[in-house]
Amino acid sequence: MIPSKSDGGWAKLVKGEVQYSLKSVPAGLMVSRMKRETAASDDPATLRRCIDEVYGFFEKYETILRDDIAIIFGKEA
Amino acid sequence: MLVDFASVASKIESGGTLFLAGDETLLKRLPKGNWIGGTIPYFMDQKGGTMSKDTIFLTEAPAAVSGRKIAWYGESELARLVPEAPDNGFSLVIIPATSPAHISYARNAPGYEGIFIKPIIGWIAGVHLDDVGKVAPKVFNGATGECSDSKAIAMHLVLPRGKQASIGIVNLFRQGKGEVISFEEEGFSVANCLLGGKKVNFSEYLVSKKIDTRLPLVADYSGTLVNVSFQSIDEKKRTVAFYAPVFKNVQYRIAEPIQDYVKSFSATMPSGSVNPAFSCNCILNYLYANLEGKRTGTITGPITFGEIAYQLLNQTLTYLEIIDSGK
Repeated sequence: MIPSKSDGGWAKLVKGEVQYSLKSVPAGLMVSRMKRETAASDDPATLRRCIDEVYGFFEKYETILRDDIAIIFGKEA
Repeated sequence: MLVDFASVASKIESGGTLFLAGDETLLKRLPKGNWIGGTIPYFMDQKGGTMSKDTIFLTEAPAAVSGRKIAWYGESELARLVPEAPDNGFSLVIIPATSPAHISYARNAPGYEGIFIKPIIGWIAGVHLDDVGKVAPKVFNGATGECSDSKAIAMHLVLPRGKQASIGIVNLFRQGKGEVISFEEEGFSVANCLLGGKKVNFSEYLVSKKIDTRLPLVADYSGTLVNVSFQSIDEKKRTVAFYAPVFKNVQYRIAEPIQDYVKSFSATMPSGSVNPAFSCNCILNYLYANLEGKRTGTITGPITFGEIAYQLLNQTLTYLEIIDSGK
């Protein structure tokens, strides 16, 4: 199970507040795009949209992204 | 696998869903059926790298595929790829090198809405290196027999519940320890770069530093290393051309040199369990590593003028796997 959308880890991820080196190709590409988008806009709606998108991605591909979920949220996630 | 014309024709006629790569003269004679293809005479086969105009590289769609649709995408239609891709499945895309569709996809794909939610893999069709600039690369819609040197062809494939497509890459290159390079202009060609915030002419920099331009620029996208390969330096015009666009707000470094490509491939291949449903490797790896007659692990496929793993890549082996997702 991935953490709920309200977990602060998602905001840190898309804002690039913690730099992760992710294993999955689409995860790396997507997170980098989110970081550029949040860096370019202070609008809270941008942050919410990025969290929605990245959460939906991790939820859909949870099996493929198991290693990356552990990197971001720790082994217990 | 590399097979003769008759074997491919037979597979098509028996209803197989196929991804094909080969010489134009062979592809245009194939019967209609559930296939798409692109031109290229270079391959990585089980016996090693090879050039052949008499055989076709055939990849059969995974048995799990439960539906398919083939579609053309012109330069201005490529953003439709994502919404038209299945919710669960993958899309295999082939684009003719240097075509308007190639340029457009390279520049714009990273910005398509939802691009990373739907697995898109593929390659850039090419020609024999002696024919570059003389013969146009082409892609084929096997369902209709049509071919194009300007549009992309895609096959969208649906997977059943419980299966998902996963795209991986093998990139031999790591960022070197040199200066961080960034760009104020985007595109396949630039005049200037920024080094530590200072604008300098990039061609002069590369020449003065004696940079080995067989080594690509490498950007780190949160752990995914993406190469941009050098095409040429024009010292008169003071410009540098690439095989993929550079982007603003991305930090690049020249790659670390590689001592032994074949050993590096073996060392970099994902351990053990990779069983690709499709894969391809770059013509620059084939050339710079002298891969003719040499094997790069167990992964085979066409040798291409660019690879697609969501967005355009260079000098990168790209592969697709079908996994049990439990969802």
